[in-house]
Amino acid sequence: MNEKPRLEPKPPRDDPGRGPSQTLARESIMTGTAFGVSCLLAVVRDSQPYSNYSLPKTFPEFAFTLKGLLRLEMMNIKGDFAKARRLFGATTKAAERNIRRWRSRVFPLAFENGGHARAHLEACPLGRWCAAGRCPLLQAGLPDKGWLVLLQIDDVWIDQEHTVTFGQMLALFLKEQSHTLRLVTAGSCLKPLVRRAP
Amino acid sequence: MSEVATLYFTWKQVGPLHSGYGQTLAQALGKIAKGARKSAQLETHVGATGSPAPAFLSSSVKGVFRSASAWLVERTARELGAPTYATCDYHSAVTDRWRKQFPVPRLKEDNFCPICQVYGGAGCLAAIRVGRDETLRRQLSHVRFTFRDADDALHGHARWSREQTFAWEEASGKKGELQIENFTPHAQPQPRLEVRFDPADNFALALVILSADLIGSGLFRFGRFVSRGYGAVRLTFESGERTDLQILLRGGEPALWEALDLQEMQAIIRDKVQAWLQSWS
Repeated sequence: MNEKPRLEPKPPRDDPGRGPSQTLARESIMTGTAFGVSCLLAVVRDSQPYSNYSLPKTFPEFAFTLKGLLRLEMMNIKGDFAKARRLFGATTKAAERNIRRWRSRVFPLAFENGGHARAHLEACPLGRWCAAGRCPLLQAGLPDKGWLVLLQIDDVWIDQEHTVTFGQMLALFLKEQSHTLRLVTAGSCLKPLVRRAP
Repeated sequence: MSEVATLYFTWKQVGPLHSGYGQTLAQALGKIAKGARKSAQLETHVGATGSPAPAFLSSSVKGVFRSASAWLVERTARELGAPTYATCDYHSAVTDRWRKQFPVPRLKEDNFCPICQVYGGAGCLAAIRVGRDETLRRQLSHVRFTFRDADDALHGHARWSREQTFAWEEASGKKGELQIENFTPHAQPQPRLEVRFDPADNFALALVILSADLIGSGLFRFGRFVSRGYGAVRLTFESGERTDLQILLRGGEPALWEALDLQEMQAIIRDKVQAWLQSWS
């Protein structure tokens, strides 16, 4: 029997890994800002991804709950995915002065169908900044039917060696780990930059 | 004689936009009860007798443009090989723990960082230096943002706040039906953003136009709850005027100004940032 996993939310006080998770987010933002923009486009993989959770029936509810759902999914995966979820924004009392809260590095946007997504991407002003003169996501064929999700990431390096960006991690998450969404295509009109050592 | 300029952008909301009182402030002001899952959206009356409508303060626009401009200057500086942050916007965010990694640059001569030169500032990098002339501590902004012909607070005669019910993730489960926040998704008419430059120079104009692209993509957003994805606005350059102040004083008409192409504007910013980096000791 192929039983679906459960989505288990838990408050921060019950998360023993919250310290390292907050450190990763703060370090990434303070020292790993890559000044790049990465975009991921995904479709719904399963409308009932968990045994105790199914997607909302209406599109506005889906769009509204999207970010929380992604965060919860990442929380339920052990390792770096769970740590990096706090790059979706967090508030904490247990942090240094001035970095007790940080905004999400991801701008989530949902579309009712491929036509709406295509219109949004074609109108994106950063398209003209790309070498090809249009958004790289448009080079992939977008499905016409079904809800789509665009994640626009103000990218950061999540490791000290600056080898992996948060955008790359989220792409892997959507490709292999998420039970709800499946990655269609990824692209970057402003590539992440590595800082020269002082 | 210095030049002045005005740029016009169409302002089209991509989704909900919320401004005004958040939960904490609304509680403090007594607009909502403590612990209530509500916020108060700023509203204004359009005209003397018009009914109140959700509003967005034009004075809050500058901060988003400044953030986008600082991001762009930092990206350009990094492309040019800067080992540390190049603007005071980013330097002020560095706490002691990371200060060694991001030392404040020492400057050869008094100057403000490229962002403070355009948007103004006090306590810029130039003012941090010790033992130098302290008169260079404040720079007035060269840009001003207003909405034109729009239902924003600039044209309002009175303001009041309307309560909005928050919807939390938990509300979808045990606590009943989910209510969606939907503040001002389709403001009509769509406002027109007016950016005035005094004085005007190529760097400031290019910086604002390119920052509008970054904002229009959704990378930088307006108002509250931006982490949820609110406040995304598409800005499209409509037209521009640029002229010598002397001509205006003599009653002349401002000349139309065509925006430069993308590569030209990027080159202007690169040159300015390069000069700024070279001014470091």
